[in-house]
Amino acid sequence: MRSFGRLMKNEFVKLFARPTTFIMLILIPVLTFGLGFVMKMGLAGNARFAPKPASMMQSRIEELTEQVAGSAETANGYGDSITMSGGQDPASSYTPQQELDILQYARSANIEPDGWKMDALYKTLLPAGAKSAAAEGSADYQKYDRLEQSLYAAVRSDDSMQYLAAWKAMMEQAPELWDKSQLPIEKEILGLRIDNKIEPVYAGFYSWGIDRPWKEEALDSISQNRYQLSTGMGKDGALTDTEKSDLEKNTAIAIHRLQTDNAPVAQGSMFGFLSQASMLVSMLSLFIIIIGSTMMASEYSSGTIKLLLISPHKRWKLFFAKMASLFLIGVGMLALLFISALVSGGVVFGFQNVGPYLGFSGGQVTETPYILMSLFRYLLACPELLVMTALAVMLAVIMRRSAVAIGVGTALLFGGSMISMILRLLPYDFKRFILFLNTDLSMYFPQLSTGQFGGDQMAGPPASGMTVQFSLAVLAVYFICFAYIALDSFNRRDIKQA
Amino acid sequence: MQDQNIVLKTEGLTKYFGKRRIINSISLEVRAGEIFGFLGPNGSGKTTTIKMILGLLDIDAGKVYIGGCDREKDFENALRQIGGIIENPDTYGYMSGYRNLEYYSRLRGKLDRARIDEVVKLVGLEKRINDKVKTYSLGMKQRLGLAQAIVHRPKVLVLDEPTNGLDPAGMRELRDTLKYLAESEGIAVFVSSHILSEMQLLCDRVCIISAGSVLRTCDVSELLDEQTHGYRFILRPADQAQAVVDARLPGRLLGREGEAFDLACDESEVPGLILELMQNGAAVYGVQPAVRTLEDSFMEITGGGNTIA
Repeated sequence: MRSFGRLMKNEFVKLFARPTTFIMLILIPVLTFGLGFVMKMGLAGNARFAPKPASMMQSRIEELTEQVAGSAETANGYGDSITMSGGQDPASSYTPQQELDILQYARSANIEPDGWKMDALYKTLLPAGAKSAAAEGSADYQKYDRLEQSLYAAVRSDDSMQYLAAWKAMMEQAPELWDKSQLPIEKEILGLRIDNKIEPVYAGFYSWGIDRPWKEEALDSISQNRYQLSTGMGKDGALTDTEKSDLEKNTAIAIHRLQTDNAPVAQGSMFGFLSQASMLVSMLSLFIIIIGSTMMASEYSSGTIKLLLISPHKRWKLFFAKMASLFLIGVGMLALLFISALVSGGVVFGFQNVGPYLGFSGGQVTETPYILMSLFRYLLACPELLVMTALAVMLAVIMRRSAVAIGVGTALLFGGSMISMILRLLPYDFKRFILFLNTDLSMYFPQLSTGQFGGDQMAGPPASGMTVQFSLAVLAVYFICFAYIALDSFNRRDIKQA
Repeated sequence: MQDQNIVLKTEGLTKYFGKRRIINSISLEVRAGEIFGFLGPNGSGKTTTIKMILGLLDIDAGKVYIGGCDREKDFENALRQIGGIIENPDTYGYMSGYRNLEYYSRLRGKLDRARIDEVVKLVGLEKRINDKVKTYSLGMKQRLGLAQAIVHRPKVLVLDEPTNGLDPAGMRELRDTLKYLAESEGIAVFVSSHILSEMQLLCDRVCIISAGSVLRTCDVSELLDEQTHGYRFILRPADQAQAVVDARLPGRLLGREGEAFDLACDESEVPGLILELMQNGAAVYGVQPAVRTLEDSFMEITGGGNTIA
């Protein structure tokens, strides 16, 4: 097989003697840097144009002022966009006036609209509402009054942990303020807050462009998961067994994160960018088609194929030497892409390490260094690159002209992707066999993308019953077909013209 | 068993194009150190035969032996012993001449830099060998093509129309180089061409084909000698001279072209013939030895003109 190595070396010599190859290689870091900057500007833009908490509080104040002026009756004063981190209970209803009061107090005391103190203030509305429903001077009334005061005391003390303690006390002493079904979950969440010293925020004044701190998101998702598990009902009806185990898994992971202070990877970070940049892998398919056509078709058009064919090597050896070299270049470009994405992400978003990737196996949360998972995600592109290599070689051998091979290849790539995207939405069963719906193996690993805690809706496989093994099998079949057609054509054609 | 001296041999090579037989059972043998010419009019199948020998076209019947190895059964060993240029030299324009030679050396066996240097010197490209081939003139490309064909010390060198586009100096250089190679390295050279004057100077043996079939295979000297010694007389008026020759010199006429009559005779008989002709009314305007060229033989053998297969 030493001669095979020599053949491959020859291919590489030719590849690197051409400027085309270098242009592609330089494009890769250029594109990753470009993408990095564009993303950074996008995220910054989001943050810049999103409404700030202060203005949201202001709008709420104005809204309430109108309400108070307009109607005097007591109503369940729940705003549209406000989610209370306590429960909602019909027994505790507060008036717009009461809410207005606390907001004005907040303003006068310079309390931040999105901080824990605001949350505490809103929490006071629970006992306050209950108080107004209770008889003046009764035991209940005094209890609610005490609880309300303890919350105010916590605010004035500047100690968030004191707030949490007061909150906990309120849960124990006045459980009727919460929805019965929610209460155990609420207690667990509060317990997690206290154990891990997590300062709450007030979510009501967060707008679409600003993310809540990850710990809040984590607690939120734990709470939702527990709720779904307790009722057995999910978004699309009764929970299946896989959904249940997924929920349990995600909950365990989220709790582990809180306990180890292991923030999930954010979009605007080095590793976040590394994940996002993997979309550039499809660009590599295009590069492979271009380089492959040049490798193969130009031999025919320049006539050098003749000397190759009269060399002392069987045709299949020559063929596979070219294919192997092309695939290796593809993998090389993949490595280059990985490294440039990493470096670009670091340059644009800062070189920050990130906590280990959390998986779940055998009932336990497992930790893996994040960089390995990132690497894995990129390596998932290798089967795709292999199939593209075969496709490129097949086109080049059949067309024998680089320009045509590149043209047809590009058309197939783009056309194919577009058609596949449309087909994805249609309910045909045969779509599972379409090449382009099987090339993105990362869709089977949604946890690798930077959604925060759940997967992405679009990220799942397009048809049910598709698994990694299935896609690999489909890709293998395509590969064999392309390679066979290419080799057959390479073997048989007479070289009629010079 | 093969005569070890025969480095290229074909047996009954045949090819069909649809129902038509375009190459008809061609058999030939080429010995080491010999320069073998493959001649034929346009369209006679020279290039097709060469491509069949080299494996670029399918063979419908027949066998090819290179250096004693059956090309079908022992493909790699057979092709290791052959080098060729088919029409235009095939080199990679975007690489330097040297890189190209490295490439071809590696392709046919191990990279042998000493041999590359040797070959570069042989074809006289030392000065430009590190320049990109796309900057070469046609003559230089030819030389590089030749270098690439012998870099692996093959036993047989196959050249299809190698003099295409060369000027007389280039042709002469090529001729000298080929003769040198045949003599010093013992390479057998298989050349196809239709520049007959060149072939006459270059080849030891020739094979003449037409319409896909071999017409004749023999030594060049044999063909040239086949002319019977004679002299060419320019006689006027031509028709009257014809009558005189028929009457007075029966059996001597070898051929006639207009006013030029080729008569069989020795040098000593010339003055006598002149007298005879003059006395009988055929005025002699010129006498010279009648030398046949390869072209003459060729035209005769192939029936003249362009017979397209």
